[in-house]
Parts: sequence; C-alpha cells; structure tokens
Amino acid sequence: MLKKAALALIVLLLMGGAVFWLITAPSRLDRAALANFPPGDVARGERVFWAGGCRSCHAPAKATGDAELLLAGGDALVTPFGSFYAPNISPHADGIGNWTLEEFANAMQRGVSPEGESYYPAFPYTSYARMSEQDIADLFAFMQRLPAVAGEAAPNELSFPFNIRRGLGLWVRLFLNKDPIVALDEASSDQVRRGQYLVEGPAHCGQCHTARSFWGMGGLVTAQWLSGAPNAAGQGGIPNITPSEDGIGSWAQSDIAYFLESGFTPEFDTAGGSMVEVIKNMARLPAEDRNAIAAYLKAIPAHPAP
Amino acid sequence: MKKLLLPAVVFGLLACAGAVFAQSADKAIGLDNPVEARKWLMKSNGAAAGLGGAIMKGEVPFNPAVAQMVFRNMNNVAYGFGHYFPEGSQEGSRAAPAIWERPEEFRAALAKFEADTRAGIDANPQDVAAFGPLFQQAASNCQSCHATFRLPE
Repeated sequence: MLKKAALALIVLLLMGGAVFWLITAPSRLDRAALANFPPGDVARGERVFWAGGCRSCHAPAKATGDAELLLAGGDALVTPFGSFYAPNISPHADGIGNWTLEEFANAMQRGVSPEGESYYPAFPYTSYARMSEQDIADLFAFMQRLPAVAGEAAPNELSFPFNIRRGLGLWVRLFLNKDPIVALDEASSDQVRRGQYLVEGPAHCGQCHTARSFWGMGGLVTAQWLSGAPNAAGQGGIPNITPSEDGIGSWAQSDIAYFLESGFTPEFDTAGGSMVEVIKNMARLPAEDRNAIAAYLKAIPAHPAP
Repeated sequence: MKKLLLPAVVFGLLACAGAVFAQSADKAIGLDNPVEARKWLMKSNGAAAGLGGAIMKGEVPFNPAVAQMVFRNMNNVAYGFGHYFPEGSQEGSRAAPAIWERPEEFRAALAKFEADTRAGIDANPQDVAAFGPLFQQAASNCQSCHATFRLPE
C-alpha cells in the first residue's frame, strides 16, 4: 500500500516537474520571421541606441565622453527583489561579440539568451518587443562597431524565490504582450504615432512610470499607463506623466520637448534621480523624436496618480 | 543711462523683496528652520536658472548685467546652501540620505557648483554666444546634484 502511494507520489512529482518545465520554456521569435530581418545601418542604429537607453544600465552612471560607450556592465540596480547587474554587451567574446542577429533579436524582444535561459525583466524586453525589425537590425549593426571590452559583470544578487531563473519563462508567457498600449484616435498625426512607437517601444518609459500588477512582480497595469508608480530602485515615487492634473496636464507640448532636452521643468526645477540618465539619452536624439514623444504624451488618456 | 535701467529695476525689486522678507521674520526662516531655508534657496536658484534659460530660448533679450545677476544669484546659493543640512534634518524633506552618508561627495558637488557659477561671473559675457556655454555648464550642476542628492517626489 505504502509502496504504491510512494510510487504514485514520485510519478506526480515527475509530472509536476515536466509541466513546470514546459510552461516555463522560453518563447523565441518565429524562425521564419527572423530569416527576413533586413540589413542593419550603423548610423540609424545610433539613434535607436540613444532611444533605447542601453548605456544607462550597461555602462557605469558616472561614465562620460568616450567611456559612455564602454558597455561592459553598469552599476547595481537595487530593487525589492535584490540587486541586478546588467551584463557586458560590448562586441567582445565576453559580451555579444559572437552573437548572431537572431540571438540578439531573441534577447531584445523575447528575453531569451542564446543558451535558452530567460532574462529578468529588469531588462525591459517587454517594451523592446514592440521595436521594428529594422530598428533591431540597425541597433545590432551599431553595437558591433562599439569598443570591445573584456570582462563579465557581477552576477545578480537576488533573494529567494526570485533567484530561480527558470520561473521567468512563465512570467514571459503571462506578461509579454506586443499590442499597442494606447488606442490612438484614427486621425492621429504621424508625429503622435512616432511618439507612441518610441514611448511604448525603445524608450520603455512605462517600465518606471507605470504601476505593476501582483505587488510589483507582474506586468505593467496598462489601464494606468504612465500615471506613475513607486520607485522600484529606491525611495519616493516616479511621477505621473499623463495629461492629468496629477501629471503634466499644465505643460505644453514644447515644455515636454524642452524638458527631455534640458532636464528643466516649466518652473525651472530639474529632473532628478534616474531621470537624469534618461535626459542624457533623450538629449542625443533628433528634435523631431523629442517632439514626437511630447506629442504622444499630450495625446494619451489622463489618469490620476494610482 | 538706458543700459542701467533694467538692472536698476531688478535691483530695486530685489531690495523691496528684501524689505518685505525682513518684515515676515516671524516665519523664522534661516538657521532656525534649515529645511525651509534650503527649499527657499533652491527656489531662488530655479528663478535664476529660469531667467538664464529664457535668455537661451530668446524669450528675454540678453543684457550683460542680467547675465551677471543670473550667475551671482546661483553663486550665492552655492555658497550658503551647504550650511542648511544639520544632522537629523532629513525628516520630511526630499534631501537624500546620501548627503549625510557621503558628505565629502556632497561638499565636492557644491564646490563644483560654486566654481562653475564663479566662472560665469569672472568671464562677464557680453553676448549670448559667450553666455551660452557658461550658463550650460553652471546649469548642468542642477541635474548632476539632484541625480544623487534629492529623492524622487
């Protein structure tokens, strides 16, 4: 009797393990689609690089000048789950030097490493999933031309159970969604649509500016898009950037564009905390991209702070 | 004579503001209330940065004396600001704990702000082309300091 029960238990555990393994399997991009990625352009790739904000995590914050492009890993991102250390993404063997475009696209847009492991969503692949094939190809071309830097970044220091990487495969299945977040009016201008592409995609603004479900562990609460959230990387809160009273409703489109370039608000207060890094990247974009982001932020639904 | 009109008006307004300010001494601003004092100083900084920014945007015509006032105002704040952070005054303010945890770094940031604004004063720019880079340099301190030493809202 006991032997049968023990056997049944073992079978159940094995089945449970198999189910766990299946539902946490990484979801890669469609192979046929990958084969059709266009050739990349280095100059266009630089624009994508600044929009994507790669250096803010993958290079030390204090780096200036040429050192900004030494992407051997950045400062710790300290969150309630523990500390994340962004890896080396320079074109060295220790970084992405031996990667193919397919592997790069799967990392950026599905959070899957070349070894088939899932990345932690501190890497904002749920936003990058919305990037165009051209932008991914261009970015890859640009990044292969950056200085190759040796060295591996420190491993993440995460608390249990967040250090069980395999579980992320399920997180991705539940929370990765490429659909547009805001249903823009049919008559929206090209400028607003470009802003939507940038904000919901490479600029990944929502990752800080939107609340998360499941006590901060889930996906972004799109019903409260860009209305602010607790600061995942420290104290205080991340502001509401919707056109509400709680947000930036009193700002003109030109005020928003000026802020993204200079860091100065209409009252000449300044950006602070992690936003300073974002401004440095936004300042490198052409003015039409900052204007597009500003136009989108004036067009999205106004929400009160959560 | 005309050249001095605007600075004279500005100075006059500041003198009046100073007189009104002195009248409201029951507000106990200053060393008695460091949190209020440092917020007040930063608002002055913002006003100076706003004026400098308006000149850069072309909304306010350039005037060498006005440029001096922008730098001098920010330099004054750089000079006095650091004195308003006694131990235990972190409560109820956006001052980041880093100010007390890494005081040498905070000192260095203030010293840089003082030096950058003093460079503007000493250079005494006579046109926008000369003013621009000096103002950008001074104003860059706003964000670099706030990145580390002020908490998000």
